[in-house]
Amino acid sequence: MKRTRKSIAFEALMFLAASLMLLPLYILVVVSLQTEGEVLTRSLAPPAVPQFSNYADAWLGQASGTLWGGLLSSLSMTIVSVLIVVIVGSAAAYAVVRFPSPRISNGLQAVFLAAITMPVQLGLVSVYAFLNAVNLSGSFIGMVFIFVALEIPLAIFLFGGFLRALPRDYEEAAQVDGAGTWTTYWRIVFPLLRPAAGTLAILAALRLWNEFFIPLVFLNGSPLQPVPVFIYSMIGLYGADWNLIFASLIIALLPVLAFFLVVQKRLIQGIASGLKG
Amino acid sequence: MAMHPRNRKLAQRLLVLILPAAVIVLLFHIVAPLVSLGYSFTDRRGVIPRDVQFIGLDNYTRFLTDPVAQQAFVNTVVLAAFFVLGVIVLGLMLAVALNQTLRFRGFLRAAFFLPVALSPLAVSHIWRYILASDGPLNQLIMAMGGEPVYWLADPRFALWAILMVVIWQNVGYAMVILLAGLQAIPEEILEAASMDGAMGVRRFFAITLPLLAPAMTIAIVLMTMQGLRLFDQIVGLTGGGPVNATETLTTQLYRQAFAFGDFGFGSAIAVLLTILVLGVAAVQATILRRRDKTGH
Repeated sequence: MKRTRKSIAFEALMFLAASLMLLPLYILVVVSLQTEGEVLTRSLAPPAVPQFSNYADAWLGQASGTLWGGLLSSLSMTIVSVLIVVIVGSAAAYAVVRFPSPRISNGLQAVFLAAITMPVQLGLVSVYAFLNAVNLSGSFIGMVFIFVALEIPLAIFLFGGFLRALPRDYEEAAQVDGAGTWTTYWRIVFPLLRPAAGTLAILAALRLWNEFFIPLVFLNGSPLQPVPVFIYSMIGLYGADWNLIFASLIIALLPVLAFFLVVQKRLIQGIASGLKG
Repeated sequence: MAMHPRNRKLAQRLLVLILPAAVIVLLFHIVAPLVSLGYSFTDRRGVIPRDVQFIGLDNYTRFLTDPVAQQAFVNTVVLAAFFVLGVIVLGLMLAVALNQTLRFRGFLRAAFFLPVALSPLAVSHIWRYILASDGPLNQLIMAMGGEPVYWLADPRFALWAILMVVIWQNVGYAMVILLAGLQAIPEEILEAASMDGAMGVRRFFAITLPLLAPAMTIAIVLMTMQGLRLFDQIVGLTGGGPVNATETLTTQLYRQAFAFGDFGFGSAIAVLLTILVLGVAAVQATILRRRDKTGH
């Protein structure tokens, strides 16, 4: 495609559209650096003197304990859950896809696929009652169990698709050499699953990090509350001090933003290749 | 089921690998919903049940006669329908546009997709600032000579304000899916069409769009699932108000089951939401599958 004046103008137009799209984020940054006075004027111009102290106030201020706690909580719950999902999900997908009876194999795959479309909220009521009954309601383990249950169907779907396309030569060679089922899977197949594991990890991590409904039910007000619940609890905390609110938001959003910038290419390609499957 | 003895051994060993995942999914996605379904026929309240009575379909009739519940149902459907429409149409426009660009496609794609990765709660905070009665949007409107709109406080506009926010946040997701679909269309087909005289708009509707059908299907199904279950932004922007104007099945479900502790009624709402979601999914599956088969 030739670089005509028309195409340059078109790309400029697209940049304008992207800027409009990201305008709320621009507002987020600008207001977070404003003084109280500037906030009252509702000006969107970059502040004369950026108030980086707002970040210090947000970090050390009223909500300090919970902001830091929220980040730690989200980090630990997300990482542990994703690790379990990748390990358990890939093993299960391997077993389902390689199951000697095609009827059972297809049946299981259909069940896991159906689980993806089921809305979570229905089961949550009885899970809530159950976890309360066994005193695990506000616990780390309870949340991890639920998080894992949320993502396993997707894991089976992604790994399954990947495995179906995988040639069996490596496994057959290993079995000729006398490797057992577990060894074949863990030593040969699992390392080959890395692309699918990567895509799954990114998708699951993003979804679990931003999950709000479920932590709201179980961890509202608890010291274990993850980032989204913390943000929700901020409504009313800083009143109309939008600069402090936005400074807190930026601190809370930084991990996800950094993560996104690193994985976005991989993530988008993963979605695109998932489409072909 | 006749299975070669060697296969049976293999099956047994594979079963061990399947078991953890299968148990978790069974418990969480099958047993738990069934138990909740059971709750919906009782008057169970609170975490420690006291004197739970079977009350048949009372929770359901209560739902059907409760005006707030009716509003919630209507809102759920309206929100989902316009959400899918907005996200697909705008996403398609962006995808087509991005398909034309060359040098900065990667950057632009990331830019439009970025809001999808952000916490909907954080996004809600930002938009509450933007949509405030003295916020930037109203200032723009006033600068153009109009009257400020109470986007979030006026029951007439609140739902549409929420719609605006959720479309903004999710259009990038639809765009990415549709863009991948567009890029999968072989160059040769488009060139052949051009040589046969089909150009521009005509080529788009006659050739490109039908070839985009699979990606379109995926995008529509995914966005519908999401649209019917919108929760975070509603809670973050209006909390279901003003005066229940923005309540949906999900917010009602949360309020009844977990805020008020009425597990029976809350479960009934959840069951109705599930029926709605599965029903829509089934309808979409048949329509879209039939279209894929006939190629139209």
